[in-house]
Amino acid sequence: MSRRRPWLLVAPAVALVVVFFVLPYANLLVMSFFTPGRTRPYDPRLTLANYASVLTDSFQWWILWRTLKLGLLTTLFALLLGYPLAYNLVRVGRRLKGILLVLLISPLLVGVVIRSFGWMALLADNGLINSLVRYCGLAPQGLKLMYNEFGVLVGTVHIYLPFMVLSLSGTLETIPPDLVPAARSLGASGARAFWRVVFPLSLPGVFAGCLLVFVLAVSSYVIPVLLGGFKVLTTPLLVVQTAVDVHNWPGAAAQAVMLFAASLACIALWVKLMNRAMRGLAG
Amino acid sequence: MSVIAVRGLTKRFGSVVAVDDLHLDVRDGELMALLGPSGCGKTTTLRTIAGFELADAGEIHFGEHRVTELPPERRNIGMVFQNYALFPHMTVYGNVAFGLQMRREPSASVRARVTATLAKVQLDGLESRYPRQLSGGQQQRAALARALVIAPDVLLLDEPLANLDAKLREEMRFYVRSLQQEVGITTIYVTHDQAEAMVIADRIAVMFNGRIHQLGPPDEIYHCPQTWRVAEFIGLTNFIDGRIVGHEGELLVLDTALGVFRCRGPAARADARGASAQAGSADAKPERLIAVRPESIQLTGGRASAGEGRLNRLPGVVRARAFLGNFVDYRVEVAPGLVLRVQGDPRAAFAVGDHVEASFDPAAMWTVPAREEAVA
Repeated sequence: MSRRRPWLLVAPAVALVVVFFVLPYANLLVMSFFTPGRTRPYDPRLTLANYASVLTDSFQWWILWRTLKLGLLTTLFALLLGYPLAYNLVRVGRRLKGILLVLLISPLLVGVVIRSFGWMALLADNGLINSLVRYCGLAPQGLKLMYNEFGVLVGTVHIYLPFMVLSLSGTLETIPPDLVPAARSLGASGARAFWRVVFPLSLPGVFAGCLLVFVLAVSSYVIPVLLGGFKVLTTPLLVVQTAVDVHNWPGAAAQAVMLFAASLACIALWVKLMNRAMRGLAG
Repeated sequence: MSVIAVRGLTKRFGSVVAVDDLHLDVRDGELMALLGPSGCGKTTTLRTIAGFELADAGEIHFGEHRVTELPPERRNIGMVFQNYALFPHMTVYGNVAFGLQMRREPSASVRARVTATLAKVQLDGLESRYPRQLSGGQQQRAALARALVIAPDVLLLDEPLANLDAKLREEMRFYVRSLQQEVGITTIYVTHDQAEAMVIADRIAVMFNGRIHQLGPPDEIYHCPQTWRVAEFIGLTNFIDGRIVGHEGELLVLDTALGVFRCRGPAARADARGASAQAGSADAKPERLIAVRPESIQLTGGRASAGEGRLNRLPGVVRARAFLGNFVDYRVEVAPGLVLRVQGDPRAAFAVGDHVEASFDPAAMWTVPAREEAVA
């Protein structure tokens, strides 16, 4: 009995993952090879037609490319904005750090829909920013800040930033504080000490943070809907449209699998790249 | 010629004064230990000399150069940290080469100098290891090599042996000392371990509360502590409250609750080399503390009576004893509530409860200002 006990302890978690993650995914994968049905989601006749139509449709490729591009840009800007934030977060006093962490995490307590509405109030044609711009006479026509890729990007960067900062600060915390003074004592300026010592040692955090933000951004649905207003189609939007509006579930499944495969390819490339960069950090 | 000159250095953190108007001169090729309990300001002093902290007041000179406001990378220092601070993502070679690369040395010269320095610290053959693949002693030597390869003007060591196990620590004391002598580099060595300071240093600066209480060679620090804090911190010391009532030649006569004592006066102290930096100024107050080391007290058997003519002798009772091999550690009660530590000959052992007579050699007793007078 005692030897079996560890299995019993993880059993609920395993069951949860299998029932709510593995099975639906397997179902999706199987569905993508079935024939679309008229009276039910699909007919259980195997076919490759769904993939054939997805892979030969240049529109599908164009949307996939935009989805991945938005994911990459979100990741890049989250990294550029998040790194200085995380860097200073681990250096401030304990009390200030607590306050900053609460501020950082507090957006996560508000749902993504509400936060997107918040951005809409700021970015809309008659929103706060445009009113201000017009009031100052900077651009009488107003600026197009929403219902385009820019608006979507603003939303995804803001909403996924905490994930980047948390994973960066987690790694930056583990860098011994004497390493920078050691580098300075050996003749490195502050900037060189950062690039030669701190940045390489923070790569595991860069790696994890980018992975997390990319995956979240590529699969996000609410933000492109609200801030892109269906003018910025991404693959997740297309999947929902195909399934719900067109009622082509197997076609939607094939699109989803394609996004999954493309994301996986990006991640594999990233892992390979970072593994090379992080050689010597292991152990 | 002094290579490091510190003048009136003051460093505050908020309302806490970590270093308080500190003066220090380290001579060319000298190893100076900064010794004191944790929080005494010794590490802050070192970090300010290194340039990691900026002084609130005072000046720091390296030879001719005033470095007070220079950032650390422009001071040409070699520093060894308590946890070594080796770069974990670089090999031993990469770590040692780092300082030379920052100085934009040509790579052939970097290779030659790194190889020579690694050989000097007996790490040749381990160039491609990462720090985590080294033992504690090897990491220590890699850190020394990294600090020395750049031919720094001064070497700064912050508790460099504190993370080693006791046996290795003792070996490394001699190793660090011989390496320092071989290179002939002016060194400041921060430690809280008095034995380490004694073994390694040419001179020791004993610090409390951001000030240097006494500065001198190890034997002088041990034999003539000038404040009760120094006497208490360095080795074991028994204190007896007394009051100067007169002189007998070179001896001071003090009246105490235990009778009259004669002990070595200020004239004897003047024989000791060098005057101390801040403490030890002539103290006019007659209230003094008599200080005596446990090994300077002789115990003889038998019930003796106190009184006139029994100069520097006290009757007492052994309350506790511990055999420590080369000596026996006694606690002898000489008056109600007053217990002296005595280190006696292990061959003539007394038992707990034995009546003994403690006798004090006037030459081995000295006085320090009473506690109220001590530098706070």
